Amino acid sequence: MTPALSTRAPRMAAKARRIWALIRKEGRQVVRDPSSFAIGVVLPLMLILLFGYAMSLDVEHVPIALVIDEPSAQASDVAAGFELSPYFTPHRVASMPQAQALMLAEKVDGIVRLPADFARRAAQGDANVQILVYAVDANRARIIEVYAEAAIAQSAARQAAEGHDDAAGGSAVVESQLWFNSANDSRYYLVPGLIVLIITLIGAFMTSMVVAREWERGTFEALFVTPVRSDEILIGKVTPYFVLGMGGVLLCMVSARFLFNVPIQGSILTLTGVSMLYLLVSVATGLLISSSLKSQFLASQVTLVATFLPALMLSGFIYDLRSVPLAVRLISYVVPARYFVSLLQTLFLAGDVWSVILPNAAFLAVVAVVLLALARLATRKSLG
Amino acid sequence: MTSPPNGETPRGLQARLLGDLSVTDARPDGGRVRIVRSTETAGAVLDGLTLEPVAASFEDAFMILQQGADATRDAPPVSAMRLERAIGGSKDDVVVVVSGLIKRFGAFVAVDNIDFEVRRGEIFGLLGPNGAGKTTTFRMLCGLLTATAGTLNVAGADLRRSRAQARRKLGYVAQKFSLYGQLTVAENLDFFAAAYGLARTAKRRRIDWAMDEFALRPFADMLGGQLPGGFKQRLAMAAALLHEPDILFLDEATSGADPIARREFWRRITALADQGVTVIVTTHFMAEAEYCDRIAILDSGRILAQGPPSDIRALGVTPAKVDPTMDDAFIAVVEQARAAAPTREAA
Repeated sequence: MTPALSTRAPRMAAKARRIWALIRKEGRQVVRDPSSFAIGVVLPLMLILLFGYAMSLDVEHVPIALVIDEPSAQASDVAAGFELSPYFTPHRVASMPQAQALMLAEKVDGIVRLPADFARRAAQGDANVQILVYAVDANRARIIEVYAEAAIAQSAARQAAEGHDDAAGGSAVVESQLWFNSANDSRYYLVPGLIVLIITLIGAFMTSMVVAREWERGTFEALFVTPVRSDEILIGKVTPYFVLGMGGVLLCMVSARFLFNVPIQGSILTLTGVSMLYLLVSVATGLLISSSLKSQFLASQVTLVATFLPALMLSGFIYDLRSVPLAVRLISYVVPARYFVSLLQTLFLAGDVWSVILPNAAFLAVVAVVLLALARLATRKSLG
Repeated sequence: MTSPPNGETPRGLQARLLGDLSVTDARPDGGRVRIVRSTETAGAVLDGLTLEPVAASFEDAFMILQQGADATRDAPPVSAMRLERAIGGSKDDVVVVVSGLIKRFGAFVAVDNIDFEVRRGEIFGLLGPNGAGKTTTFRMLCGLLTATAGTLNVAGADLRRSRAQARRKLGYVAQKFSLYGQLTVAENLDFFAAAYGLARTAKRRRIDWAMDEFALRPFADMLGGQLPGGFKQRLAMAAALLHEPDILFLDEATSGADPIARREFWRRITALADQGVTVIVTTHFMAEAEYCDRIAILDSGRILAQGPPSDIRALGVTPAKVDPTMDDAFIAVVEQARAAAPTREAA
């Protein structure tokens, strides 16, 4: 019985009806299942608020103790420099022991001490200043140290310019410039990072749960005895979560632009395009994991470890991958989120730099195709 | 207790008797029909039957009490359902052919070289203890599992090659409720109708049919997961019949159901079979084997005996038991086979 050509159109129509029914069914389930709703809608909103308002990796208003052993015009100038800086909140204390007590009580994160001979040596051009930093958090300590040095250097430069210092000629004026994040605001890279997390959450985590649930409840079995084919099931599963994920991306972009005033230098179109690619990768990962494991609990655990944690830690979103050990860096090359973070950072902060966008996007596209093919195979294989 | 007249099957007689208000309950029992009469004056259905009084059983008492308590049952319980489409073909057509079927899971042989055939309109029962290979066989017949070796032909389609074609012709009701708990009854039916590729008007018509035949209309907007057990089972069966299959597969469909729901279920099955639908069931209620035209007893992946219920019962005849029940026969058959091949036990 070879089907004649004329039966082709009705067959395609039946296929379309089946796919549409699968999509509608999935959509209804998302809306009615509280846990899907929580992961798909509530959690992204919470993440946006958390990342946008509560979380910041910036060093600002650092409390420091300022010890001036002998008051002088030069010392007052340095103190004023700290007081006016947005990075510091200085507390004047009378003596070093007092300052140390404050530090031990964790009231201040650093001590800046201008010794008794500060004014005299400053006039000679070799002033020395003691900086002590509370260094339990090494990263933060280094930033505080650099900021403190900069504050002192600025005041020295100011004095030199005002002609207080004739003897020490040629003192260099450091002028630093920050590229691609000129405001040096951590939100500028935290908010794009959010998009990675939300896509991973909706794409992989949610999809892995819903497919495994169908296995657990036996509903896939009821589906498999119908003429529904595995590619139709796949399309029916991918579509709703793809739409939901794109909704999350849109929400992120809108809040990035209008709520947090993060600039988007690249084109929205390119941004949407690469987000779709990564979303496809995530959904396919979720499908593959749950088709292979068939248990909601296992699938959610594996997805968390295989997608969410790497997206958070190995993507270069929080930790710069150039400063991690070689082994970790090598592992990060297989994390799709890494490529997406490169794309996002470029598109948000630099612009449409095609030499960066094309290779990264191509990698994501290849991974998406491979994973979808594997997911289809896993769905079909588990039938037999 | 009565015997069916010549040419009538016990379940045919049962169906006829249940339609009458003077009969509280009737069920096939050992090739005959067990009747519980109500207080109403006997109608014409009992004419020509030789009645033989027997001791009341616990189930008989339950049926009487239940009927008294359940006001909705004044009318004859369930109308025998009507199919919209006549199933083509003759009763002599062989619609399911299983031969040399083997399924291995690693070193474990779940189904070990079994053969059977089922004809159109037959009710065929697969009986066996847990782990006998019933469900595995069943899943292979429905195309949910691939056979390791052997031939599987369902409704003219070779399951190893054209699964999709076979699927269009079969309906499947799983052991546990496997419809969507978060969709309403109407949405579930709508979804499965579309999954079978039914287009708008056909879909509407078939859903209406299912709602009426299975009395689901009052529950149309209830979520599948919130339905009482008996209604879940009805919904599952309704969904499996939406595409008017030639063959219906029912896996342990009555486990967990009360006697009334079981009676109702079998009445529907009987009606379907009478209209040409082939029905294959697995069950471990031996009494339900009486509804089948033919049964096969499975243990350790092999068929130990197959034939009409009366033939199977005859295998249980011993000097001590001249009139064995299906239970007795089943135990005798399984014990004989296990004694003959004690090494298989360990496997």
